[in-house]
Amino acid sequence: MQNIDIQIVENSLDLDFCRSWVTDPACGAEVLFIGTVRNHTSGRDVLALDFECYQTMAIKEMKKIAEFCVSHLGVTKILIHHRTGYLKISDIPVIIAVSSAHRAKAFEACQYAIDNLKKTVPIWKKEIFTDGESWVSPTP
Amino acid sequence: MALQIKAFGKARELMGAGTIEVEINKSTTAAELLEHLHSRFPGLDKIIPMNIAVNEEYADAQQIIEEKDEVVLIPPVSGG
Repeated sequence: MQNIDIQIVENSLDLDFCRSWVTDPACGAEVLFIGTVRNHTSGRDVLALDFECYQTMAIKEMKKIAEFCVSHLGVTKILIHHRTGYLKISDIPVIIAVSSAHRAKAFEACQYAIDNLKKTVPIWKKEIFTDGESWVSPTP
Repeated sequence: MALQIKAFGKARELMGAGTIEVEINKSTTAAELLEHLHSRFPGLDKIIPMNIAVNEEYADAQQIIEEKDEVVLIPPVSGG
């Protein structure tokens, strides 16, 4: 479908591409969520995050989320791009961009998409600390 | 029957490999397969919830595993 764009890549995500892809003449609202690598968690200093994914299933699950946003939440276009591999502080592991005629649906769908990505899409990250590393457990 | 099982994240590290082979009976369910793996890999039972994907879809506990299925252990996901 041309109103859905799902990608998992190893290189840097392209924010300009995402923003221009989601633009639509029938839409008065675009909401972009940009996930960034934070330098701390539970009081510990984080150096980096290392992402791995089950690529074929992850793409399928991301598509399900995007299709729900179009069919049930009334968005016109939705893009979900996720990056894998070793990411440093302030790097961008995920971008979600949605557009809709009015802002309420775009806000709602963007929140739905990131919340459900964190619940169902088979992607994992390991936090690399100054003094060790650990796989991240789901967060609300 | 022999079955290849893939794993990711913490489950992969505990199993010591991204893919392992197990010998299971026909009509084994996803839940029974997980029990089998728990007995073989100490610590795997501490990963909760552990899901099993069969052919790229989340499986129910009672789903029967077939010989040709792609079976993957899915520890708690943490994308984003």
